[in-house]
Amino acid sequence: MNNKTWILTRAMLKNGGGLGLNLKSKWSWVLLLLILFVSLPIMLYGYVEITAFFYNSLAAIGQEGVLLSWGLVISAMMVFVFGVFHVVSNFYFANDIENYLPMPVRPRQIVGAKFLQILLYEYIAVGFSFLPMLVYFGVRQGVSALYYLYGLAVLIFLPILPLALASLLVMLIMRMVNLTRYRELLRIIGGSLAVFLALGFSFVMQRFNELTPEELGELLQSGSNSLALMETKLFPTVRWAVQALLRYEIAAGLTNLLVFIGLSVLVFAALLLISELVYIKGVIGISESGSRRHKIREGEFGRLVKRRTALTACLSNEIKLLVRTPIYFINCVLPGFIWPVFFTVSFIFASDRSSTVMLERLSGALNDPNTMGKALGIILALVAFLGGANGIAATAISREGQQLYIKRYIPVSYRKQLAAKLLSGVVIGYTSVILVLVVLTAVLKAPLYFAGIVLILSFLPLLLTSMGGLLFDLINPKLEWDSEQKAVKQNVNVFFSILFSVVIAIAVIAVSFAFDLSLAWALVVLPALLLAGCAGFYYLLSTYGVSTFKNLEG
Amino acid sequence: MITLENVSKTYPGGVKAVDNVSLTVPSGEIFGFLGPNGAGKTTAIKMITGILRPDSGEIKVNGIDIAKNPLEAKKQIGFVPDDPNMFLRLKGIEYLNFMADIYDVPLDEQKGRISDLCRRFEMADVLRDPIQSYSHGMRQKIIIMGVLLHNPSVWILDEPMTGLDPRSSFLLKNMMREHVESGRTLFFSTHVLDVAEKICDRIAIINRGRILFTGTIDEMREHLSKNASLESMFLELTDDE
Repeated sequence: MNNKTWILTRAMLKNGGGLGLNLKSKWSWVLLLLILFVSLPIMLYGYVEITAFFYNSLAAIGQEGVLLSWGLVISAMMVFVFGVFHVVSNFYFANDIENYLPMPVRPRQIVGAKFLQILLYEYIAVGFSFLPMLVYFGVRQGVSALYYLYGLAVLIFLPILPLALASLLVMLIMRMVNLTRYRELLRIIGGSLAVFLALGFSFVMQRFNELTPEELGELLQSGSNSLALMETKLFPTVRWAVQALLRYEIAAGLTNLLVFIGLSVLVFAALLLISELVYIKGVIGISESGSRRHKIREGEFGRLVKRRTALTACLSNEIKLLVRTPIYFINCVLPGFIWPVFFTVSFIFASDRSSTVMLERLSGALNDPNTMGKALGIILALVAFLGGANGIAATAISREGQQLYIKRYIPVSYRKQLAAKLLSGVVIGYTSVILVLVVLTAVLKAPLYFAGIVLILSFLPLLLTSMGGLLFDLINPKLEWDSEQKAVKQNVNVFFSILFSVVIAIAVIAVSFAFDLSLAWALVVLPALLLAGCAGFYYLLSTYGVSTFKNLEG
Repeated sequence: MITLENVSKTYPGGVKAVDNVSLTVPSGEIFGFLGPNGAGKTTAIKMITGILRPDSGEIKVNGIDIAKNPLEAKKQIGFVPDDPNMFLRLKGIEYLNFMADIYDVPLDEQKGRISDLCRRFEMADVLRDPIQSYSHGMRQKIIIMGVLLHNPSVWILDEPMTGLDPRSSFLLKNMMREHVESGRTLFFSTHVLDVAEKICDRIAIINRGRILFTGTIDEMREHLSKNASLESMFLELTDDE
């Protein structure tokens, strides 16, 4: 690693980096402490419970090592999938790239620095997904300090391979796309790429899980932890990491660890080498915008000139921005499409019997009057999650960045401007709902009136999660950024918003199941619950929210 | 007309950007606001347009207090910021439609004005392209067009000549003159003294947040009792030592 890569990495991290937690504001502290002392222990508890369940089940057949293998593979897969989003945003659509292109630096130095920057964020993800499992396994096995040392090394090198794979894939595709004259198509292709990958993974994982009973029997008989390596075919280097952790006490553990580290470094070096060949040609002209120069004839003005209310104008402006800015599209709009499509495709194409059985059971639950109320609860909970996870409302203020001042001189009330932001989250959220409805009616054969109910009632969870997200962003907006991706990707408010939507989702499901709601009761209780939430947040937004917005100085 | 009475603004960290400023910008005159970099010009303009709130003092636009009746006051104003890099993801025509909606321009008026402004600024063949694809000068022109759509009675421009080609700059100066000749108000900031000298009827010079002089250029000559160029008088006035 040479010096210029470090210089670039430092510059990138300092320049509007961070997660956007404004610790000068006392509300940020309140939020942070709430997360630390309320949400994290609950999440950790759930995590440990699940881990313990799997550990005990696996230990009963002498295969507890599989747990580590799963943890590593799931973490690697997560790094890969999120990595694709990060890489598209960071390597190609970040505005700061054009600052580095004229500098006397090599492509591999830019790529190296960008890679390290993403790597830091991936460590946070891996810290959540693998660290607790690593520690749990260690505690249950009563291991020595060496295990934890090896574990730390594994943790540090684990994200390198999947992130490098994600980088390579994106770089190659971008290189090919940038050959064409139609670069504006990039945003669509970049997005479709992510969908394609997510779906591809779903298939690949299913293929790997198809194991005949005979194969499984053989594997089980071949000794302790023999299954642990089965899941690692996707990310081959994980195999050595598992071996290093399982056999840390003997020399083979060290050898495996060294092979793992060596391979990760090698993959990183290969990435840098390839970046010399493909990166610059893929990134050059990325911000170019085509222009057609069609003269407008006098008669055409009548057709082009429209008149809307201020609220509709602001809303349409918000939506155009979300759809046309590649970073916003990929990070805020696309995920809402991916998850329902991902779910459907993996069900439809799943060849094994268990999926078919599950499909039939889901379909049955949606048609059985005894379970329809609870099914409605689950679907509204899902909609709440989709609404909160897109982060549209949770970054609505942050996305304004240095241009927030425009909102202050236009003669539109702050209340109306906030309403437009809120509705943009609801409208985009509805695109996910439409997909959910397609799944419900076409795949799960839910009755049409049920789909109609979902269509209407979805407004409430979408509104509630958007209100929560908007409030978080008003309390703690991230306005200092030089690249759009910092407003939506590296923004802690999205995390808060997801947590909030999970709480709403759990509450809705809990109420539906605790009271064993019939459809008729669900139609009364769930909207009432959500409406009460909306009313509370409406009060907060129209008092505290409006006055905070008024006093924000971008 | 714009009036500022004892207006002050201190930024967090203690920098007093505008210090007890009182100023009247009458209608029917081109009023230039001059000062070195960091003198407080943009802060003052931000307070007049409602972007920032003064710590103390009162600002009125056509007699309407911007703090008490912000929406009405803002409707009087057409504001051209110093940075034209805004609404880049919108097409030219979409931006113009947006501005017309926000400022409540009636539809028939909107059509006529867009077509007229397009002709004058020679922008008709790019209206359907995204603003992102425009050059700096074209961005400046489309922003000015959007601001003029509602025919504001008070026109405020922050460094408007930056990036304009000679023809557009000439056109803008003519439009500024037309604007005041119809009895309306025009307030613009600049540090290009040649421009100020040629087109301003009246100027105010600000430095370190304080107004040093308000009046015509001739009055300034009398005030300093010398027959010098605006440039040398400006340098003398703003010389801190």
